[in-house]
Amino acid sequence: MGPKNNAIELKDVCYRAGPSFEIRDLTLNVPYGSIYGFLGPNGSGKTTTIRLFTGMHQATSGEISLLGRPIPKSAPQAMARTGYVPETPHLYEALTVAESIRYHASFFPTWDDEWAGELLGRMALDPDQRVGRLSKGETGKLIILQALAQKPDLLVLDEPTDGLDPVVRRDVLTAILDYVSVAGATVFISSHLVHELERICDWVGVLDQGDLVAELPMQSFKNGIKRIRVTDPPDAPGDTPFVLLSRASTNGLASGETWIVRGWQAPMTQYFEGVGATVREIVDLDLEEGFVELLRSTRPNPTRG
Amino acid sequence: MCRLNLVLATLLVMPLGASLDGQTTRPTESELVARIDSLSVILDRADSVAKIADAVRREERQRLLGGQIDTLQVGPFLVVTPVGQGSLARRYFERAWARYAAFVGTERTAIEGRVFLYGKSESLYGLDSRGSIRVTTRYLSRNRDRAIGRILGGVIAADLPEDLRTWVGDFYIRADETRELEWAYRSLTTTASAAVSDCYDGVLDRCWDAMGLDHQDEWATTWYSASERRLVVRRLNTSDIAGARASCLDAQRDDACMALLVDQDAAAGIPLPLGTRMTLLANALSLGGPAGYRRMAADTDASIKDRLVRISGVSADSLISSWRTEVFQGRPDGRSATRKLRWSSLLWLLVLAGVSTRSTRWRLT
Amino acid sequence: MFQQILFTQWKSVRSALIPIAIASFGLPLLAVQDLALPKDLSAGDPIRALQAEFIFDTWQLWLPFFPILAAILGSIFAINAWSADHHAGHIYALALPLPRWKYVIWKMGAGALLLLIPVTFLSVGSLVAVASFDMAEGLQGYPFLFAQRFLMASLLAFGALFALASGTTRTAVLVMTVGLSVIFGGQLLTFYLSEHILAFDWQLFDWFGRAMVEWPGPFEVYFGNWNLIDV
Repeated sequence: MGPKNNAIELKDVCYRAGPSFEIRDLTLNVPYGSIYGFLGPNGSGKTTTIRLFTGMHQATSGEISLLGRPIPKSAPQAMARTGYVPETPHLYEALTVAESIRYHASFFPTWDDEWAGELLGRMALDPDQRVGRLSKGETGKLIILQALAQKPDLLVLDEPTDGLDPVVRRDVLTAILDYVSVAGATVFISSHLVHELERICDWVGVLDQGDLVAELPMQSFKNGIKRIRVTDPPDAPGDTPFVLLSRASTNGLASGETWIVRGWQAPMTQYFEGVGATVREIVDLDLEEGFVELLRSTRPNPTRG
Repeated sequence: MCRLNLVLATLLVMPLGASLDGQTTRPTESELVARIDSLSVILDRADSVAKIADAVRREERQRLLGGQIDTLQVGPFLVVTPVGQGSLARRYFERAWARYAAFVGTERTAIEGRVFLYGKSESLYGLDSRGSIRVTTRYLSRNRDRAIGRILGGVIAADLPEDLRTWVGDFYIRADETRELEWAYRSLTTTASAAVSDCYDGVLDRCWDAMGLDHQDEWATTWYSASERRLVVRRLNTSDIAGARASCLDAQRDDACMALLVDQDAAAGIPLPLGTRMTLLANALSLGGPAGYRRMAADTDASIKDRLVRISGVSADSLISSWRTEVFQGRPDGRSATRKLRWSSLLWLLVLAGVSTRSTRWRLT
Repeated sequence: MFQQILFTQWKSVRSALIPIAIASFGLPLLAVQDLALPKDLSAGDPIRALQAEFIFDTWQLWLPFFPILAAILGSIFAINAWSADHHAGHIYALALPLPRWKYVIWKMGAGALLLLIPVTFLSVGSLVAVASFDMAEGLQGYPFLFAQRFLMASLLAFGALFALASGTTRTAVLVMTVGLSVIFGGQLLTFYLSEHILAFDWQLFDWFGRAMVEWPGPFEVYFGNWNLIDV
């Protein structure tokens, strides 16, 4: 396989898990050096996608590459440079923290002992404590520690802060960002906690029911989705310079509607003038609101223009 | 039944008929007489086979032979089986006969013409050497070779004197020679008997005592020491006459033990087990060959010891010495057995490791 | 890597190892505990042969326990080898940067190495056992041969169950179901054919049983000479 521009590439990947869930023709690209936020509601297929490109599931068709290596053929070589934090804790409970770290370190030649020790102190983990006796937060920290201390080129984090208290979440995210700033690694982070990703990701992919409904730079995603209050809107919007995600009557406003649009730019107000409507208000949506509206628009029977 | 008689008789006679066709020269009177004699022997045999079939109860016969039959000549034996089982029957009987052929060999006239009816899961032995009908049913175990080997052994030994048959048990020679000699060696080493200990130490005369073939009248004192007699009393589960058992076992009074043993048959107290005794007989037969077998069948009046010596064709000391050497050579060799096992175990481990590495990566749901 | 895999398995099996080691050490000693001179013999008797018979027969009574112990031992170690992975859903193992076959082989090697511990205890126990009483003339102890057989029996049980546990639960159930169906179904079929087809006289149980326990079958080691004390 030739050199790739993306740390993770999925091309037309299909996978079926049981009768009720399917991933069909999934194409996903995670650029090198990016912090890629993988958004989607529960059950959308985020973990399945991660398991596909880490070589734990076998796709029925399509091509997958991880750090330039074909998957699943070269999964061990690719995973040697990948720090993986799974959704559910996967460590051996009989081992102590120190033993678990030693076990993990033995598989990764790039392991940094000194930094592992530093992280151990920062995360305030007791090295003699049994893994099975750690709290959920401590377990999460240990898994992150192990993933970071192996100095990966790619960090794959599946709901890394799920169920963690805010203090622990902050510690975890800080550790990740510190590493990325120094090492320039690629990060793939999947979560349904949208607001968390908003602060750290520079790319976003949105998965819903096994389909990737959006994949674009974070800024474009955030800036591009607006809520516009319109008076005298046209019955049929016709050709719009933006993507109309939804429109709904505005309560209390005669002949007024609220439009949710994507890909908005300032000069597009001319469109409304052209159709005899008036723009009353343009409101920026945060990532979460935009995410919700995007999902609403892609699901069956949305309110469309 | 008449039809069966006819078929059997025809089958038996046919080879003879073929041999008559090639005659071109005029036979002499003596040749004719000889031919008539041989024909009558064959006809007698066919008649006997038919009688055996008659003698078998009707329902057994129907079950065993219902329909067409095959007859096979295997060694000296005639095997009658339902059509379709011929190849199976031949295989079993040939393998079993091979065990005995070496020492029966040319002396097979003694057992010539014995008839078997073989019906897969059971075998009926029908005819003894005197032409008398003896019908014995034996239901065969799944190990057909072993079962038929035992039946043949029983047939061959049928004319042996009862005492020899009792002494040696099942006449089933060299079923598993290695194991038999191993256990013979073990019994020679561990049997609690003064006679056996002396035999192990090389006192050849005492080996006859160990085999229960000498000094049967004073067996309890000759074959065993006082403490060993207590074990014999315990083992034989003798009746407790006037508290003698307790006196023998608990108070360790030898006179009490002797009182319990004096009326016991010597055969019950023979030190060496049946399997070990069989190895002596097998050794004697291997030394004596077919002539030895003939002597075994013919010599009915002498003692077992004398008969064994005559079977072997060598002196008593030579026979016992030969047997003892064979048993000592058959001593269990744990080392070579373990060496063989090591290789097979290693191979199986490699196979299992190979199977394990096929374990799937696609296990997550 | 292997060292860490070994350590992980050791950690999870070590609590079971104590009773196993005690059993392995103690069973030979238990078998010979009554092999001092039998009480109903007086010292002046020529007791050599008497004791030899007693020793050998007593050992034969205890003999069956050793292959059973070996089978149990191998099974425990095999199940333990995979229990942590099964418990954690195999995600950790699958995320490690080494091919699956290598991981399996190292795990198997680690389990086999750990088996040496109870086998060593058995060897020591056997040595102590044969030294603990007067061995009758004509008999001798074979502690090392005995321990070798025990090791082979344990390893084979370990290997068989390890291979079964290395697959998915679905595969294990499938293998067991298919295996048992073939054997029982085959036995029914061959029994029927044997009863109804004259030239057919073969039954699957017999053949399968003999193939398993006669040389060079995998379980022949369980049925051979387990004599710690022999001639």
